Amino acid sequence: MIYAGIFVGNLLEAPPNQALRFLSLLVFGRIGKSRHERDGYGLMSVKPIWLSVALACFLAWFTSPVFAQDTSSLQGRVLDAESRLTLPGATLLLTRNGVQIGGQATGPRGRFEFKGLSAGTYVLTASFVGFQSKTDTLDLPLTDRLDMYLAPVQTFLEEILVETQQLDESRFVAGLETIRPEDLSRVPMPDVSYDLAGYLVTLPGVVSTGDRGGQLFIRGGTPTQNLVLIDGMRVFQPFHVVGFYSAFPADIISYADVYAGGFNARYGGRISSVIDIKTRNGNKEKVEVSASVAPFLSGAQVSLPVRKGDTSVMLSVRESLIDRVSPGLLGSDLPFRFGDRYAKLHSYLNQTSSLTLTALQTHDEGNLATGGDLDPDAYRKSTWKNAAYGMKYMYLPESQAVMTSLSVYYSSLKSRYRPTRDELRTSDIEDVLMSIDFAYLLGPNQIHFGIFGNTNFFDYKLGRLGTAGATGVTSVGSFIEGQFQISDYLRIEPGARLEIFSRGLKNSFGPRLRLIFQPGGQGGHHQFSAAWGRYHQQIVGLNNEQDVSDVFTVWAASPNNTPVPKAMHMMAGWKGRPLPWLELTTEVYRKNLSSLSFPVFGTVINKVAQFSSVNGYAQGIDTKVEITNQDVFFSLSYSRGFVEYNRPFQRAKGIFRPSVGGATYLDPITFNPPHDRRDQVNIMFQYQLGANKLGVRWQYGSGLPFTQVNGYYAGLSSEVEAGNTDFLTAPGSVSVSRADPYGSRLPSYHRLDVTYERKKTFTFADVTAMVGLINAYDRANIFEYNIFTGNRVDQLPIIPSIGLRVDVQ
Amino acid sequence: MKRGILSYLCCLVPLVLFQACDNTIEPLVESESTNFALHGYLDMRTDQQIVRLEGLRPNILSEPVSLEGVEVSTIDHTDGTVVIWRDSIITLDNGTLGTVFVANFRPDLGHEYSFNVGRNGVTEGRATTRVPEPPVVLPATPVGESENMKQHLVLIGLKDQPTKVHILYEVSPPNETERQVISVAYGDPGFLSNAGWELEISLGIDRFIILNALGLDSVTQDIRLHNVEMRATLFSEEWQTQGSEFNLENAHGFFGSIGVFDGGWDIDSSAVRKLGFIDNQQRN
Repeated sequence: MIYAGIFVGNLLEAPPNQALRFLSLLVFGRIGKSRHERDGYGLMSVKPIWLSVALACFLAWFTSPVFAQDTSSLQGRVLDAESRLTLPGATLLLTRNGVQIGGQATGPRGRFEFKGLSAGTYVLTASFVGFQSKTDTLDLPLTDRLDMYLAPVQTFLEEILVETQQLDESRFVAGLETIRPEDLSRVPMPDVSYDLAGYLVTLPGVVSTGDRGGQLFIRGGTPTQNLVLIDGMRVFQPFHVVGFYSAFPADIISYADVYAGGFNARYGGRISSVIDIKTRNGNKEKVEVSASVAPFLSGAQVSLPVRKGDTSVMLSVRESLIDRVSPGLLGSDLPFRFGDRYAKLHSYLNQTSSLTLTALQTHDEGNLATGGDLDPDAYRKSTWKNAAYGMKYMYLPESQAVMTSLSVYYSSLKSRYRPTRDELRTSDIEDVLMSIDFAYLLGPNQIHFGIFGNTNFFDYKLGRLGTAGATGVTSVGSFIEGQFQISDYLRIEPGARLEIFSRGLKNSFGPRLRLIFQPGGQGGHHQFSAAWGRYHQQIVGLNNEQDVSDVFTVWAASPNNTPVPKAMHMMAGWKGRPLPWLELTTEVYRKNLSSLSFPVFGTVINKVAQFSSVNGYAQGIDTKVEITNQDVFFSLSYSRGFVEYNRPFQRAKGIFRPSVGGATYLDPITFNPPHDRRDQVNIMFQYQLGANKLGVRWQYGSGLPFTQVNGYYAGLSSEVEAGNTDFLTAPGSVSVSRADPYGSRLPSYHRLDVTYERKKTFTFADVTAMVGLINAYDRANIFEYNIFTGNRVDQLPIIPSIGLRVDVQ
Repeated sequence: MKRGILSYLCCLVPLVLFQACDNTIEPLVESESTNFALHGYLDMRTDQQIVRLEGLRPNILSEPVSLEGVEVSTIDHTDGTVVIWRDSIITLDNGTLGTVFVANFRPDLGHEYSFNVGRNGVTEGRATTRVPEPPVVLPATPVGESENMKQHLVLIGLKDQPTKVHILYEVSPPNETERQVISVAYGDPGFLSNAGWELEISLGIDRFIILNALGLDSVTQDIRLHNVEMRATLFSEEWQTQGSEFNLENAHGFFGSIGVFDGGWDIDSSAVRKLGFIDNQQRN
């Protein structure tokens, strides 16, 4: 056992791919070989040794300081090369073999220290505002002390932002996941380019109801409770009708901050989550062109300097082909069409200021009808168009560490929905936002303060029932948030947001607080974080949640006579990096929700739902294990969640009117809403060998709630008239009798995706070819069961995918 | 112990995979009892009551569920009367067949009824309704002279709109003993107040209507007035929330009741004389 413990102790220091091979042999053995035969690792026995391995790992983990006789620490200072003064708040990044080991900022005396480092070669990079970055290579334990001298230079704003991002990258914040383009490329997709939506659904706590409709639920929150921003512009319907895709291709993304909850004060107007996408700037030195072709989606991107070194333009366009190729490729029609366009101009006006102009347009069209034998003419055509335009001016004076930004944004969403061929429902929303933000950069501390004004316009018409409205809401507000490094171990981030509304809407005040605790100081292997906040949502989106194929959403201001939806978030988590290639994350959360609008079950097909007010909560635990090295990436995530709503006794409400069609009183009930997925597992594996890349993903989700049916009958209630017996012979309208709301569960969902890429480099271009299988074992995952037609619709079947991409520089 | 852990995993993994492989959906609730849809009402204006009944179908295109063996009855919870209903097949407007249940009785004002559907003595679906209570008529003193005379009435205890209100005057023309009842239609008059339902009748105008109905001129005198009463149709509270189904158990649809109220009062003698009538009312 001791021999195994020592061996496993060395194993844990071995490169992870070798470690994985070794573990697999230990676990599964080699079939057909003598139990005493040696293999390449010198083992005497190839019989599975479950218990010994587990105990050895346990011993190795907790006695690693004993075995790791060659761990040491690296300490030093960062100084001004000219004045020889120390630089507090300078950023340090320590890597080994291309893998980040740690990052920290220097303390008040310009000192830093990285602990628990094993022997080997490291690369240390130091940077600071107004100074030229410096990189040194060192060998431990030969060099355990290093002073780094930085030469002062004039710094462009972009470098400041990059440094800020590096500082955030090393910090773990509860509820926050920062996504990089390289993360997106790990998810097998039906085409050779990648997309943010494909990665989002791999995150623990993110639930998708299917591969069509574009609806994401994040830690119990509904799609209309999520705030999605791209370079500050709001996008109301950010996901395309085919669930693999969003309006954000990987090529344009610099990084994306996904707050599954507990977001800070700079964000408001939503009560569940924030997805804040920052795009990269175009290349200011040379022209870059890339184009990709694939059955689902094809696109092109151009990045070029307008004024070399100062100004660049980036353009991206994508268009779907699936509706044209699906009959031949899949043997069935997929009547979906979608696309997006993005443009960005970025210019350094001078050494201290920059200007950014951005534009986004998307279009989606799809018939989500679930016809079949019972209703061959079923028709559910949805179309929507996003448009967003923005301007941002940033200024950082040379003599002060205060960054000022002035922003103006316009966003709109136009939705059209035909539940039948002769009925049309429309909903339009426009949003104009102006803001001035100040960022005080005080070394390791920061204070952000902003004031903003916002105007929304809503216009909706709901078909035959004639319900319509056109209103506007204006608000002004401010926020303040701080990031304070109290000590090497503790950082606090308090914040508050205040917003005042017109039209008699109740004002909102939202306090926020985050804590980050690092027991080993900055650069330590473990971090703990907690977040808390109160949130309000005055602009609400109403849709028929009980019908997953009905994605039409009416946006409007919360009615004056009803409470505004509110939430309180609490979350806490731990992130550990016990080994350079191993990262573990665990997070628990709870969201208390109140005054949410939830549709009332209708008995008649295509009837606009009435709504009720519900309260509830969402809670759960998300865990993730990641193994990363140059060639191999492995990720296993598991989430366990629980969402519950309760509806008190009340009178049903029509859309923004007290009632529609007479007074309907609702009994109190408690139920789990249709996005309450209890268990979710995601396993991703990627292996890169030279120009070849293999990606595998398997995902599992437990069944979502649905409402069973007692049966069907001819509805005549509205036709019964006193003294008139015509109703006795009337055929009536098809009506459904439902059982207890969401009292049953759909089958579980799982799917295996596999892709293989090979890249070939030519003189002027890189060419990447991809083949793959989405839903490789053709699992019939249910999308919905239409209770009115009796038709079951499954999600996409096995999809062979092929794609070609050319990158020209 | 190793074998124990291995055995556990060997049992657990297949169970997990089996559960994950299960791809069936059971959209229908399995239930031995049949839920029903019923549409109709008890009507005090007729001796024959009719309600349409349907068993819930498993899908929208399936044939109507057979109601063989289904027993329907009403119980009058005020006096305990039980009435058994009989079924009858009807043809719907779309050519398909439906089933109605019929019973011969007339409900009473203020009585509560339950409509029970079941098999083998077991009630599977139920609907209840209370025929509205008869209000108490509280007349005010008539005001105005002759042609402009009006009288305010309060129907105490009535909370909903009475409809098809008629004021019935029982009169005899001059020099005749035969009595005739002249009905004056008032439609759906009045308003709700804290006291009940309030309305106003135009005695002066009604006089002209009576004379016209009797074929007499406007100056005719000596018409004997025997009786004045109101007839109104009253609706149960289910009509106000049609579709809410709050009075149904294990059933869908609509079930209510309609009552007919007859209530009289005496008009003040001096007012009768001002109208040009001879007061022959039998005062209570």
